[in-house]
Amino acid sequence: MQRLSFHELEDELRAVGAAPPVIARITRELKDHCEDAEATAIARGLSADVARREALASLGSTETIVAAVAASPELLDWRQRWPKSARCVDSLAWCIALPAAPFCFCASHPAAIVRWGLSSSLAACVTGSILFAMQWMILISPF
Amino acid sequence: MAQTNPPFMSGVPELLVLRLLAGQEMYGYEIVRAVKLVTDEAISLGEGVIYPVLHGLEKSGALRAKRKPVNGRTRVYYSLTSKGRSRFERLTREWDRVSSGIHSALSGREHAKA
Repeated sequence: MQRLSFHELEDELRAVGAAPPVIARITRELKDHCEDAEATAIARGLSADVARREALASLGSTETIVAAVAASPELLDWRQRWPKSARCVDSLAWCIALPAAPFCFCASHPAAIVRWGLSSSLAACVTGSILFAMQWMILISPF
Repeated sequence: MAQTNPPFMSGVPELLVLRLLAGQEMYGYEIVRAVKLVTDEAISLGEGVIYPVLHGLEKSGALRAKRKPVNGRTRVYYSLTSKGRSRFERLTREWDRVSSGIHSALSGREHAKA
């Protein structure tokens, strides 16, 4: 009989889009349930190891629990329940984040921005000077 | 080996949970044991399935969950709300209607054979 693994269960629940608080609570309650079942089995005279195995087996398989969660929309994350709304929110967030990114970068790196500004200005001055000199050379040339 | 439940059992765990919690508040393990007891172990639930059912009912407002410290541990006790009570009554009526329909259909088949 397949035994339940709590880590595997958490991963599978995340994969079907269960809400994080639901995952945490189901796992915690299943662990408590398992402890209760184990204590009952030990009281019946089973060894700790056999009791543990029996308790885990009684919970059922990961697939069964995940299927039960997936069948209840109210236990799923809002992105899973309303995918169209999630896409709208994502698009809106990107529309705000992309133009705001350069401003945020400037605010958080003022020294880098000053260096960048100075070097750009210097490069513009040097290029401008060369073009100016070339223009004058053309103008004053006797040829 | 324990018998598995047929596919038409969908919805039965919910009905049983509501029935049991109509009497008193209970925690998950207690509910599973009570289900075995009241059904003479005719219905075998994968015990882990009870928690998605409980949480779903709680989210829909049919149950109320309350944490209680018991022997150094915290247990989550579930109890029926008024919404849960009316849901239980509605589900019971539906169950009675469907089961009597199936019963009369099966009896009819027996009559047809005879």
